[in-house]
Amino acid sequence: MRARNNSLSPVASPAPPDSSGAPAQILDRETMLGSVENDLDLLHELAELFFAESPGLLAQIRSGIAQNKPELVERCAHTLKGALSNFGARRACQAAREVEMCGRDARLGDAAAPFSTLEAEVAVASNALSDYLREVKREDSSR
Amino acid sequence: MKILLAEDDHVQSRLLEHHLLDRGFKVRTAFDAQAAWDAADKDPPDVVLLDLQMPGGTGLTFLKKKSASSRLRGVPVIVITAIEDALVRRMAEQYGAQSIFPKPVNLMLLDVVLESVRSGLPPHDAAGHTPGSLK
Repeated sequence: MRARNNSLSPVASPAPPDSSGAPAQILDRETMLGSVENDLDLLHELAELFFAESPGLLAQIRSGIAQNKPELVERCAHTLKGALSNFGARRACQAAREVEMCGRDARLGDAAAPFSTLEAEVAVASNALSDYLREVKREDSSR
Repeated sequence: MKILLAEDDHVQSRLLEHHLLDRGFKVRTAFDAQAAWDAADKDPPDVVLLDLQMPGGTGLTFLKKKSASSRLRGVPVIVITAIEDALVRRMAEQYGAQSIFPKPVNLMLLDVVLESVRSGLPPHDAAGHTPGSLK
């Protein structure tokens, strides 16, 4: 098992405020490394699962909105929110939550804008995760 | 101790599976509610870790069916959920969930709860509640 401490600086971002008014992070490394108990091999594996799963979930949400299936939208947004939470992707989690609520309340007419935000935030979080894993790999190989 | 892990989020499922295997538990995974029910019915586990919102029927459906099953009624269920609705969480408890954990799961607390299940003690949830105290 490869491990590291989590003393790296948080992933920087020009973050919009969250519901509490505080800036939200793209990824929270403390949460991310805490989730895997500092096991970087496991983090890589989870990231690969996320990269594989998230496009399908986004596609199902898009389809659910187009076909007026609020339960599908709610469930897939909920699942995506759970996956994102493992990486401390708070901005993307917030976006997923908004889409989930549109599904739960059967307000799919209001879902287009939150879904667009969710797609963008998932892309940003995925890129940040890829960057982080590349950074870790570089550090490992330079030792 | 045999654990059935029912969770449709593959990231969360793998994370928990890795943790539980590392602690020496035998783990089976199911990614939807029907598959979870089939797996439990075929070979009853010692404990179920159950996500509430899955395809193929909800975790609440699983709990209701379990409470009606003489074969599975006594199997403890630990709910893991990102659902914030207190009513849903209360329903899960009423349908027999012994502990409720918010996502992302606090693994240290999960270890404590699983240890209490293993030793036959009433488990607590992540907030320290015992069953029946979620008021």
